[in-house]
Amino acid sequence: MTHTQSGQSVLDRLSPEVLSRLNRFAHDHDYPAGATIIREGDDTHFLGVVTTGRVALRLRVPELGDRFTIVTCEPGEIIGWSAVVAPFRATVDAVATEPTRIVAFDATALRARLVDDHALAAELLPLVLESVSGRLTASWQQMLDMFGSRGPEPW
Amino acid sequence: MVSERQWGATGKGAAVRFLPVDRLDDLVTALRGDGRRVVGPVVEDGALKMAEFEHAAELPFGWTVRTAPGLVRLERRPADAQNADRVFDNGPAWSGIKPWTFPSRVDALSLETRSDGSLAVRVEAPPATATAVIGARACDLAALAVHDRVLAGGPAIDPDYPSRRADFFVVAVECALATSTCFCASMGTGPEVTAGADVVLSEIDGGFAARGDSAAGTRLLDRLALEPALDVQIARATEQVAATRASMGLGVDADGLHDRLLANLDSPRWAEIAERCLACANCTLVCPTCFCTGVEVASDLDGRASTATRAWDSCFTAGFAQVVGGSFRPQHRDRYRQWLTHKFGTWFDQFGTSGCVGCGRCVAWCPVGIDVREELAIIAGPAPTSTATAPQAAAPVLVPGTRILAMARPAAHPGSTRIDYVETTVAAVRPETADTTTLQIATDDPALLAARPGQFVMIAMPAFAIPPISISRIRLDGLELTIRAAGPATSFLARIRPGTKLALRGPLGRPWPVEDAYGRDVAIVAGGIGLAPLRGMLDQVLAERERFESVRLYIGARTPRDRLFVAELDALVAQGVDIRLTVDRAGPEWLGRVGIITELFRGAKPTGANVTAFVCGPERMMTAVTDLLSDLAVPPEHTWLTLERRMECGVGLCGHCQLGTRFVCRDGPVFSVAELGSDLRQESL
Repeated sequence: MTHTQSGQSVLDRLSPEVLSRLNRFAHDHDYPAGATIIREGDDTHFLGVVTTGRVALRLRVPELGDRFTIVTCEPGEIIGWSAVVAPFRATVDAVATEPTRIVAFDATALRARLVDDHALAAELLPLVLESVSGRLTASWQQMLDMFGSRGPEPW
Repeated sequence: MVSERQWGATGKGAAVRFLPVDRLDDLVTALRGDGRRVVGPVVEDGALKMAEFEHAAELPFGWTVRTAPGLVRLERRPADAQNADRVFDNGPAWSGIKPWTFPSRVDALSLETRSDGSLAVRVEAPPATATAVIGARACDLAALAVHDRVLAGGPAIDPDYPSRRADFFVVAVECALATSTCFCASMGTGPEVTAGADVVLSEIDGGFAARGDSAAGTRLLDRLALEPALDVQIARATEQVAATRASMGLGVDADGLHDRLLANLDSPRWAEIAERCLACANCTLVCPTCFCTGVEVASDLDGRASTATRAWDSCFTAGFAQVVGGSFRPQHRDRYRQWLTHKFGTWFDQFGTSGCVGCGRCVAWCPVGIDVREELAIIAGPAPTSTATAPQAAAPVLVPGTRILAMARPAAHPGSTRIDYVETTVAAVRPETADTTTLQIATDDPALLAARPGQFVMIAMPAFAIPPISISRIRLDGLELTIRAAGPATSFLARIRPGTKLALRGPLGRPWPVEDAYGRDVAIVAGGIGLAPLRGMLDQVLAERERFESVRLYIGARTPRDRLFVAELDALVAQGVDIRLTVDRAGPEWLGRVGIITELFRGAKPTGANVTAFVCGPERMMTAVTDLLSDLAVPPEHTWLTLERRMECGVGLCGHCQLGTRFVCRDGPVFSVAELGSDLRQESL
């Protein structure tokens, strides 16, 4: 398992015991730039953490010129939270914008483990929730389009 | 024998004379003979207005007034009533004397593009007209003293007011009638006339007790060769004003009102008042101390010549706090709160005195009868130690014998209060994005060249409003201004051609305190057009790089195409400057970071007490950033941000940009988070 280049990774915030249990069904995946990692609407096959590179989360909006990147996942950040949140279906396309490595935890195995391993669940799920919460509040900010033109100026 | 006994609260050591009523016209004639226009209460449109008149007979003999919240009735006193023919027993005239010292409209600036393309700029000088006012009340004089402080007490001096005040003779009258809306006694401003008058009259049987309260006033009375007042007449004057004080009804519990009011910014009562308040601005128009103004520009048809007029404005209007896309006080509730908390609260912080003089005009002239006395009692509650049930003489607002009062001034700051314009030339124009342009302005004006990062200028050009624009770079030969086209003036500027002349006033406002970051880690956080005011600071930081520890720049833009200064920043990145950028949204071609600006901190946190942060962007962004910086232990006194508010004067005189105790243009626009305290998050302040 690879750690991030800068900043604190989600992985760094897990205890060694939980990390070692997660490692049993962890796999490093490497993606070239441009590779689609997750496709919107598909089942989400893993919960991952970006270790190097960058992943763009995109929504398809044909009327507006196809795909919009709404957020990027940077090293240390969770990708694929829908692997542990019903209905376990991807909400966006995830595309590597540069060579990217992700440590991925198999969705089916992880969900089963979370049912039995309460200590793991107690450590991991708050981090997933934190990630989702951060994306939610970021979306609010983006929805405000604060940097955009806000209407007629008095001068 | 001239009596040495004096009436009134203080007296001036001057003899008291008796002015028979049939000689009142002599007083008027003497004042007119000195070359003064004479102003006094006359009946007009069913109310008393302070207007120019020629003879005493035009004054309101025999009229009295009845007032209540939302009611003013001027009525003929019955012929058989006591004091039936009195002239001044009718309360303060609705207009007060403000229109004569601070007219509702004055031409402020004229601009004309000459045939050779140069710009003729003229700051209009007010007419020097000697004026005498007869019938000013104690509340009027208190208001005049407040205006002396606000408009002529600095740091900025209104360009019009002092000359109108310079030769302004006041014949005051002590009120023998307290209307039901009068509450000067509780505000400590009356009914006794203690300062600010040249001559003081008290209307008694058959005429007036008269005293000179200034050398000029005494000389005038001497010229009239009046008989000395009898002791009984002086006693009558004394008793009369005491009776007025005693008869005054509901007052304002002024003790500790500032704190009690400002502690209740979230009172539910504001919303209740707003259900009645029409936001009609009547209260501000009749208020003798309200001083807010706006600038209106009228142009000829071809846009070559225009005049900017300074006109009274009101914090109750929808556009008063309007900036791009919205108003900082969108609801009536917000505007009423602004008015009341300024008048009775933050006015003290700004000017060392109350903004209310207790004249009651706002109560009487409110069409729905909102009574500030009642509202203050409900919102602010009683003073903890208050025992006052009847009006008591509070500490006087006025210092006897003074005209322009030495009251508290705002904290010292390096902001300029420049009011003159300088002709400059647009030397180059560089488009930054689809809607944003950088103008390179050539000037040799030493003050403009001495501008500091974070300051701004006002730009005057024929036919357009005068926008405040922050300085994005300070050059050896001028300034750079980065402007987003959003309204008529900024759209014109964004399309301007090199060689065009512009009139600039500035630099204005408080700059970024770059020196606060000496020896420290620097975090510069810029969102959208907010990068423009920070660019000059980045220039300075990089020019003095050895003075700082780490330097990081965090930039948020709307989309990749909305990035500013792209080539310049790319060059800095190539030189090793740590610049991190994110955009709010992007198409698939963008390979950089997408997300909100605070996410940039994840990779390289500006952490700890050694960080000085400079932040500029939309206010919502800045609060999110400052929250995060606070979490990262960056001290609030080292977290600096620059605020946007509507600015029309740039020097703290027009009132538009008020935020709590501050005028953003004059006291800012750069503030530390510690300085702003809770005001940064107070809704619609």
